[in-house]
Amino acid sequence: MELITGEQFVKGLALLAAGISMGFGAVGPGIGEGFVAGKACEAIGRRPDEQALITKTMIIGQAISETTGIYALVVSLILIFVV
Amino acid sequence: MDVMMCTVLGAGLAIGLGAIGSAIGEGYIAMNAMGALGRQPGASQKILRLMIIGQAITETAAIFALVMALVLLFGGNGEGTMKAVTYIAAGIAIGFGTIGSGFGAGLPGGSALKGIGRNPQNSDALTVQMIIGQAVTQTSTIFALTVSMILFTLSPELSYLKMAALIGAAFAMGFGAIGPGIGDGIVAKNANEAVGKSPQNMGLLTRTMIIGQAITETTDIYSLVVALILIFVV
Amino acid sequence: MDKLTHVPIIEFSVMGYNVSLNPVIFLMTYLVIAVLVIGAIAVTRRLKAVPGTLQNFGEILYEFIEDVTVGTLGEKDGKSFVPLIFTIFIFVLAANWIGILPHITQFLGMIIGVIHHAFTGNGGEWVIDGIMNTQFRPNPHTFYYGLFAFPEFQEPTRSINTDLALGLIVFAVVHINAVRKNGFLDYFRGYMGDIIPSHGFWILLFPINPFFYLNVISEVSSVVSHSFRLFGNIFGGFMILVIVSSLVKYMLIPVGLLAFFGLFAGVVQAFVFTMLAITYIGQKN
Repeated sequence: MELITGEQFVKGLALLAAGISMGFGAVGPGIGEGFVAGKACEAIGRRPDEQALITKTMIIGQAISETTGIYALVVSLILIFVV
Repeated sequence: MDVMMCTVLGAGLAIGLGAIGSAIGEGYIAMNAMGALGRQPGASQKILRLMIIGQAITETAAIFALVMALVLLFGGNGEGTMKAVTYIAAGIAIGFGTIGSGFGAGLPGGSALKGIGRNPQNSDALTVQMIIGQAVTQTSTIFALTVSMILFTLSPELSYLKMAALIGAAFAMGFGAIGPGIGDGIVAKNANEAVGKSPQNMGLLTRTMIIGQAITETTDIYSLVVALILIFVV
Repeated sequence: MDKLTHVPIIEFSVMGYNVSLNPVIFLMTYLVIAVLVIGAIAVTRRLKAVPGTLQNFGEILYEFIEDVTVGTLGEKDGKSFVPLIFTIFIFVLAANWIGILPHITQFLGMIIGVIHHAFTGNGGEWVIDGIMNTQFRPNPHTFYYGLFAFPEFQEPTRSINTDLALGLIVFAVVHINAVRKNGFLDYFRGYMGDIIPSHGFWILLFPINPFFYLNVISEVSSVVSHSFRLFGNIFGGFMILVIVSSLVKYMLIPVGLLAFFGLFAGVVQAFVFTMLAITYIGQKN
């Protein structure tokens, strides 16, 4: 095996960082979206006739909670393909 | 570095980390079973049955980790440095990946038992709802198992870049599965509590729960995509 | 285990472009379409006011999807989307379920073979190689050997190409519908966020608006998550089956797992895919 060059070293670390970025980035949104949907289920259990409104709000809330997950995805794609 | 050593290390990571989540989840179920027994000693048969079913499904995540550890121990007979790296990466992916859904699957089981403690008549509806919730919660483990198995079968060419990419893929999928696993569990937990209070809304609640869980898994899917890119494209 | 790495591919070039095609997935997709067409004809052949068994089944399925669609999109819009949504649902469902057939026949063949062997002694042979690898090999001359030699079916949804195609169809429907309904300007304004005002000539500033790029990325990533969700689940289920049946050959455990991943996960994932399609349409409507 040849010796590692500086450029390869940087690229390799970027790839590793891409994985860690997406991995840790997914923890928070995952739990947060879970809370949103959980509370939505609770609300539907109390008032089933408001189902359409609650589901809609749940989906919007989850989409916004997911934003940081998308940031993590963007950062890791940049680390893979641009750096 | 010996390849044999790496398979053993991978297997250890897989089952050592993979047992954490399921163990906590099963403990949570048993804790709630005790609470329910304290309230409704007459319904002990139903409580015991639900507890055992719930714990058996919560065990799935740990069983996947065990299967992967066995595959690594008995099937990991490749040659060369790169194979050694793939074995360690496979262990990391499945080990961390099962923590979330192991713990998450415990939550709906616990709330189903709370529901039985409140009203033992609802035990059938609660059992069905709990099983569906726990089954969907296993998704993140299934993704982790997929990536781990792909890493295990891979035999890449020798390069430092690929090594970093494989370890990165393992971390992406392993850590990425923790959050959505727990989140799915929270959704199923609250849905089960709602079913325990008003079992007549069960159809609606199951539907909402499945959609909520599916959206919660989105970040898990991003992790899967990043891991597949790191494995196959880089 | 070599099932995982071996993918049959035909390559040819059309007008200078190299096209590669997985013939098994191609055939399976057409098989699913054939099954659905025959099923649809059988269900609608003799429609009656008081439905028979088959018609009743079709109506239950259709009404379920209609309920969900109308409940999310409203009465008027919902009704116009039901045919598309229902088609997506039954296609994904049939595609998820079609891989089970060979496993069921193989399992039946094994049971018949073991019983036949126990009584006559020439149904086949037990190959005993440790606890994990014990398996029954049937005699090729027996009448049930055909059940064993049943060709391997692949779920079309196990290939990412099918899932991406379905996801792109939904994506196209969502955005064409949004433009048709709100006009292009309002549709475009939806990407702007709130920091820079999005009325009048301000809208021309979109290249420097960071929210524009984030919203575009989140739209594109919704297609990715929509299709990879289906792919990941079906492929993951298949992979668990391969691993478990390579550890424990032809025993009861793979069949139980198969019933779970094939039937339950298949219907849940088909429902999730359909529901998300409805949700995406509703969000932009």
